[in-house]
Amino acid sequence: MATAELTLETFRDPAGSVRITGDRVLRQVRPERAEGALRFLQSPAAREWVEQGKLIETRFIESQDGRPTLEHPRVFFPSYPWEWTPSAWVRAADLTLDLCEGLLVHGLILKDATPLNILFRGAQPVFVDVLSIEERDPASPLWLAYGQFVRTFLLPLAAYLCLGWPLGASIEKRDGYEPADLAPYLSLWQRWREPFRSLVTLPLMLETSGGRSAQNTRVQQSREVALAVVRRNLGALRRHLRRLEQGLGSKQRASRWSGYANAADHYSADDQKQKRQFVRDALRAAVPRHVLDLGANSGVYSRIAAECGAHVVAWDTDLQATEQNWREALRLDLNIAPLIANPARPTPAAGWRNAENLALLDRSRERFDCVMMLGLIHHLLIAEQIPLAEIAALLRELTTSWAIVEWVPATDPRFVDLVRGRDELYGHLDEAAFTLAMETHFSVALREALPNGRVLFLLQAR
Amino acid sequence: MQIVRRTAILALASVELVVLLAALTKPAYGYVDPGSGLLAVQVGGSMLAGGLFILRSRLRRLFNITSNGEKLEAEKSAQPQASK
Repeated sequence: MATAELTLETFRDPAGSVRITGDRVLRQVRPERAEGALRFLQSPAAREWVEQGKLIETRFIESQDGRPTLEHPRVFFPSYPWEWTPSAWVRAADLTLDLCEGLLVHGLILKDATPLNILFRGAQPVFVDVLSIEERDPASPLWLAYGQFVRTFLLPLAAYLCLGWPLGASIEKRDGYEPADLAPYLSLWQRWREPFRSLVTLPLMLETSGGRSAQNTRVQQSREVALAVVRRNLGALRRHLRRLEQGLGSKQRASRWSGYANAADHYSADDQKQKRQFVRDALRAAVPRHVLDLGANSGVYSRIAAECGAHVVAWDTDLQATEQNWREALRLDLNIAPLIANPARPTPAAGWRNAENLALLDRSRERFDCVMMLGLIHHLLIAEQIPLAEIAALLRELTTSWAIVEWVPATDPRFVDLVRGRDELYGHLDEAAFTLAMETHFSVALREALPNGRVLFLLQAR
Repeated sequence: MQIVRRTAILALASVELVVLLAALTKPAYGYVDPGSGLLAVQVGGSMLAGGLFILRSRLRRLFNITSNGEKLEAEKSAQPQASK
């Protein structure tokens, strides 16, 4: 079994690198390249941002080689943009623009603008790449990260909204989409309408070759005019973002699973009530600090866990259900991080040498003291064809102490639906087989059968 | 007269079409500067916005309007008190 003591080291930024080992996050800084960032991090403005939870906490520590070293707290569960819901993308984009605007009054600016600079604590984004802050040329009206903001935030959102391209595909594009990536898929009507007119069509017409674009970055204006123009440029990006957000709001539609919690006809109101009460009792008995909710759907049980005081990470494959979970977590200010993730096909490692972005399971092993798997086991068994012993082993890898699991019997209407007549293959799966598989790794602490035949377990790791 | 008008409209439409096609035609280079188009849009917008900003401030100066009228009034009303 892999341990949680994985090491991750960044290398792209000439101003410094981050090394994450266990729970320590240390950032080596080259001070000659990071004067603006170091100045800002010690300012009252930075402290205010930290207090608001928008900027990661930073502590200056002594280092042996005389170079400044910064230490940050580890964000409990780092996630990547390819696992975020559309609203989380919008929130991260807003935070990037907020920070960039806020820096202008201090004579600073962001040198890059990518969703990878942001992590989520629950449903709240926090800016973590502090060395992105740099001194601004006061005579330049340009934000050099403007293009990157468009490529990594606006174009993926626009492609998702208008072309149906999944945001999860961003795992394949470190620096987002180029206008040329989208152009062939746009109708003539779309090309000349916003947002694509400004984000795709005009940029594509103005693309140059032979390195001439470098000359364009030397535009100079008086300080007052340059500052006003940078603000105007940021305002233009914000308007595009608002337009996309409105589009996302109107695109909210029912998906296969988004209405499941309210329309589960195999559950009577009493079944639901009893199940919720069992989960609440199990959580009170286990008192977990970190809960992973597998197959969380729209987050009914994630919210119960969060209300019991746990930090919750909630995985589901359904985008709309996860979006509902995310919005509720934000609205109720609950410590829940809903992610689009599939335990049966977990997000792989990505980036240079597969070492820049960790795989989902590498971030998850032994990070949780309780894993909930409610109404999911029959999907793993039948739709994903995962044997019971494998499911039990995965649960044990993820949790250090507890698991709350719902067993779905072969007579359950949903089980029957999934089997689709292949009774010979799956008909033998009963509660005895389930407990036998689980007992390799867990002992049964609580058991409760619901009137609809499903059985709830609180399992304790051996 | 109508024929002249129609011919003029047709000629104008043709010119517009040619300009549009010329603008849309791109040389088939395998390589273009990545991001140069978005940079050009920002540079163009910035120069235009900068020009408008300067024009606006010159017009304001010409008509003796400050960009922060409220502040000016506050300063004016504060002056007699300061002299007391």
